Amino acid sequence: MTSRGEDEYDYLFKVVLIGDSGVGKSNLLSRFTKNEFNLESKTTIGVEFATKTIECEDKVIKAQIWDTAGQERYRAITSAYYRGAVAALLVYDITKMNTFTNVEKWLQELKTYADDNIVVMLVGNKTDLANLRAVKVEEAKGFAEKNELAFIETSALDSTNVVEAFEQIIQIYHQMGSEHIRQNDDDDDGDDKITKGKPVEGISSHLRNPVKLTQASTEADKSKEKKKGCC
Amino acid sequence: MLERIKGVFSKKKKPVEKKLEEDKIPEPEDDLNTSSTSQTFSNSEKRHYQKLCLLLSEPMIDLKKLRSEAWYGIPMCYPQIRSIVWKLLLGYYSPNQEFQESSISRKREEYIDCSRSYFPNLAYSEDLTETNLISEDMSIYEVDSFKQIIIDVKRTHPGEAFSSKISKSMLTRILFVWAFKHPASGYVQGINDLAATFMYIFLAEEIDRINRESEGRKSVDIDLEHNAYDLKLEDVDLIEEEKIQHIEADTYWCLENFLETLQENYTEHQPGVHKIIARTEQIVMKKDKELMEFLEAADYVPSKFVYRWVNNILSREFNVQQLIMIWDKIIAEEEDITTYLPYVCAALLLKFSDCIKSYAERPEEVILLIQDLPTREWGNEDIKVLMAESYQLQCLYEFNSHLEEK
Repeated sequence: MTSRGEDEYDYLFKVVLIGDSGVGKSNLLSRFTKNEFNLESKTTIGVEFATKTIECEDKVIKAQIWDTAGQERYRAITSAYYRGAVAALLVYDITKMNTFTNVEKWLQELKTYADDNIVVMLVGNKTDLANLRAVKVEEAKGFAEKNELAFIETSALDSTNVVEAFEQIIQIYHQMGSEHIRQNDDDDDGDDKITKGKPVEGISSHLRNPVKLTQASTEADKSKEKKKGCC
Repeated sequence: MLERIKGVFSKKKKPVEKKLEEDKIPEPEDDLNTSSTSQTFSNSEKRHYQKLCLLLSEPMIDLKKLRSEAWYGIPMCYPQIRSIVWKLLLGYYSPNQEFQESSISRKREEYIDCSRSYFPNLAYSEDLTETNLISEDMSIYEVDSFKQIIIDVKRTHPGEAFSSKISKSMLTRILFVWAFKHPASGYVQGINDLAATFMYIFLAEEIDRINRESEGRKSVDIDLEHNAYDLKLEDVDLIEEEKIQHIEADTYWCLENFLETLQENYTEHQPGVHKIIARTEQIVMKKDKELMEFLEAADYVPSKFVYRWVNNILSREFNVQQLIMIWDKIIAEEEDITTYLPYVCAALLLKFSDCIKSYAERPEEVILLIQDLPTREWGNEDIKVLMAESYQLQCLYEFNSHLEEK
């Protein structure tokens, strides 16, 4: 497993993967943690767990990632895992409009069950199915900006932007120098990037510069070869 | 709470008849043409198989005896027996052979009629997409069920045979009819795996029959080496359409009967799953307090991670052939599944007790282990041992509940 031999780290971050059923959450996770894509991946029942250690600004960050079942019936059990999560990847399928429409519902879920300052990234998955695209990049980007979410488009199948998605969200949180970081080592590097003391309003209102973050998607194809392991 | 704990362990005492019955099995008539490769087919297995055949040939099948005999398991080389035994024990086939045929055809027709009302024109070879399945006059409930089922059927594959359009088409109809008839729960992920397991059993039965016929083998020829459950994708195409319809209807009714006592597993908040997990925890606590305390201390109580075991009746933790052996016992069990399953789950968790405890400093490893048990490496013997251990726990904490009282 990924966590073996990876017990040395500076920070431990809990990340949740949420979104409608069949949008590719489990494959995003397996692509990120094991560089595997399973065409025959099965439905996630309840929650599944994986870890991955990455480097970020000279710090080793261990991400504990919780993959959740998308079906409504499992909401009671999956929402229990939102607590303590510092970041959420809210995934939709770019070929299915209803999975994008439901993003609102998922944000509501986060508002109800997750910590107030959770960082949320909207992830449009399955860009490999470009000919079946139903959700326009601009539309999703606009929605993300309006709701102050980071945004990226990915393909778990051909690996586009998968590592980037996880690393960016972890980076965003890390740079906030949040008090939620378990092991405080007086690293103030990230503190100048957030507005300290400002009351948090709603989800991710602390994300200072969502516009900048959305650029990742437009460079999606160009950044395919981007080096791994560091954000 | 105490009442509930008592309830778990103070069910009626079950006579320990299984062991005794074995000694009473009469000497078998020598009517089996066992091939030379089947030397490993022990005498007790041969006797056991013959006893099953004998019981099934009675005009009025004695379900109690059949249950007791089937509890020992059914040889993997002879899927016809398993299929009939499961259908009888699940209450789908009538034990009275005189009426069996007419009641089966009535049931099959009932299912096919219902299915046809939703899928009037859909051929087995058609692709299942939202556009060719969802119509404007459907309710939101129906549309949502359909969408979820279509997504899940694509990714239900206990074996290669499930990649065929025919299998997917069958499974879609079964799940949708079930969801429509059970609006209290509707279709819940996991039910697809249960339905697929039954379908697998019945597909294997038919494919085995076709193979036997084409190879000129008699139904009584037994070769233990032969595994009838290793289905190939192209095998499904061999089955004629009428048989496909029968298999689909049979799968539906077995699923329906199997889920009868499990309804609460799939209604809102899934109270049934939580009850079974709570019982599992009680059993583990009694047998291995240290393990349970270890899990609790690490905040990794089983309720979080054995959820899938219970929700999917272990179908994700084992491959389909291992699962069949486990379900043989679950279906043959006198007690209903909600009473028996906690013992199997507890036995499975206890198997990894030492391993779990060795992860004292690395609680994450516990989760990784439990969500991906190394059962793929298990052989048939390991499954038998697991089931024997479940039975042992059941004897210890259920049948001897009077010993528990202080």
